[in-house]
Amino acid sequence: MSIVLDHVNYTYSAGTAYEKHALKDINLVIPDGQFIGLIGHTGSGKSTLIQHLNGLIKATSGAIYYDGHDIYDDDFSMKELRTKVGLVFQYPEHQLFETTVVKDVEFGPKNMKLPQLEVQMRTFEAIKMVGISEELYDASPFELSGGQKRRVAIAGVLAMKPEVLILDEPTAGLDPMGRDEILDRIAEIQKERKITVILVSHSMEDVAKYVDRLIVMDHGSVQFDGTPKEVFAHYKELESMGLAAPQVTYIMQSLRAQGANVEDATTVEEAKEEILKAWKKI
Amino acid sequence: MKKMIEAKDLVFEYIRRDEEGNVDGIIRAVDGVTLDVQPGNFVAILGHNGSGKSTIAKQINAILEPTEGYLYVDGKDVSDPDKLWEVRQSAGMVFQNPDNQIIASVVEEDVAFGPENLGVPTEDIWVRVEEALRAVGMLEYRTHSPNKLSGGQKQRVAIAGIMAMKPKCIVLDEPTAMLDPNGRKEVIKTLHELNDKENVTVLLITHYMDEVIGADKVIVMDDGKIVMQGTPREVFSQVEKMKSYRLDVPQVTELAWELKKAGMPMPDGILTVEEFTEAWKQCQ
Repeated sequence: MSIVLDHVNYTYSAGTAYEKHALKDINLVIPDGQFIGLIGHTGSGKSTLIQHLNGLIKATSGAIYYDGHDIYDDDFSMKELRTKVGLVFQYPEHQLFETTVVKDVEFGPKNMKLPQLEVQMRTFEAIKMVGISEELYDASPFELSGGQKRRVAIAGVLAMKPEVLILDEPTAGLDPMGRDEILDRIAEIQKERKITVILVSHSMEDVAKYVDRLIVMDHGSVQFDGTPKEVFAHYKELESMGLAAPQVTYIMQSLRAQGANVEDATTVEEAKEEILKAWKKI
Repeated sequence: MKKMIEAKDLVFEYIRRDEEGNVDGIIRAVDGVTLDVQPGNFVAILGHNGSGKSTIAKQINAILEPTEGYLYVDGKDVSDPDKLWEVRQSAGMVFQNPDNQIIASVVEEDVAFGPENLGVPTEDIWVRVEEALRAVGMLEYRTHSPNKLSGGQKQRVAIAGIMAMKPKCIVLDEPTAMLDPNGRKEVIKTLHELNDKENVTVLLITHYMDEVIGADKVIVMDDGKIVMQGTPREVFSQVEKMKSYRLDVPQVTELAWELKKAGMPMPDGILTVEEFTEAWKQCQ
């Protein structure tokens, strides 16, 4: 379901010495089924922005429409919005609390007052989706490895069948393989369920590999919005915002400076193809 | 020369007990590690989640006592309860989350906390605080509130807090995991400066492959054991082996390796964009 942000502003601690204009005139259209990356340095406004999307923070001014409905309307159900827009916080495993994996995952759908059968179906589907094997269903979530815990926490949100899934740095602290496994799963789920996924990340390599569209925040405003390739072409501006491009982007720049006939690339696969193409021509 | 860290057949077992206190399960997190770190070295430890690297870090800081084998830090036995504080003073530790490590409401007071606890005279404390903040490039923030700093700045304050205790060695357990790219760069640059200028031994645990390129030595752990060690080039030359340990190599190394597999005469173990460009020129 589409989300439209119309001139959204947000000010923290308005009227005090700590007043901070965290979001400045944000205009965004988030259509169905897109895989979106959201990047920006710490304090750029990314977290504030995603908390607006499921109504945890109310805009100081401007409007947000979910599927055409103004979410600040009196008759709009915020509770329903929060089941439709699922937010996975940073280090979501810190929020695990139940005695077994299954119980933890079913907490969300149970609270939605769904019939018991539906709760169970959603729970098992979600656990399966994140790739947790059957022998762990009755294990304590606290006995699992870091990567497994995080998957269980994500399953808890998936079980609510959100139409929009927002993940705030889902791979922080995971080893490279654990990082790939989680992101591969999320990409699969995004395709299977045709949901919108918003991935907040500090890893330029990861967003380049997975997302269709990249939104860059800086000082509370959207600075760039386009495909990873379009956005990373502005690597110099990104650097001035405390960000960077994936390393392969710099490799291609360096080769071009030496006269190579290669296009921009944002992933290892793209770079490989480009370089091989240029090499075979010789 | 006295070794900074010397471990021989080091073992650590986490023992899980049931409600009656009977042993329920034993996990061997560190399994026979033999390791030498020379003073002034910059050593990086890589390994997947659960490979035992954090357990070793906690042993070096005498938070965990070895189950078997021995471990000396700056010549002091970590198993000797009388040496506990000396060990911790020799090897300071920095953790992942900067917010869990900062306790004071003003930067310089936070940095002073360590030396204060060591009983350093007040005048000396201020000298140390100033030196430490200067060393990490945070002197201009000395009277700021840590709350208002970025993640990278907070981590540098945490490092300054350790530096003010004048350790010979700093052990950092994923200090950049929660930081943005700029914050990560700041912290890694600071560590290299401390290593070069103050001759502090650095032991860096990380999941970011690009952060270990400047290290003197890279150690790869798997299942509680050291499975690879060498210079960054030696270790990253073995792309497939690294992947088998759930690790990765820098993008530039992977690209060169992929090109080599596709028939281009690229050398192994390319670590920087400059090296890549040079190698590419040789292919023309």
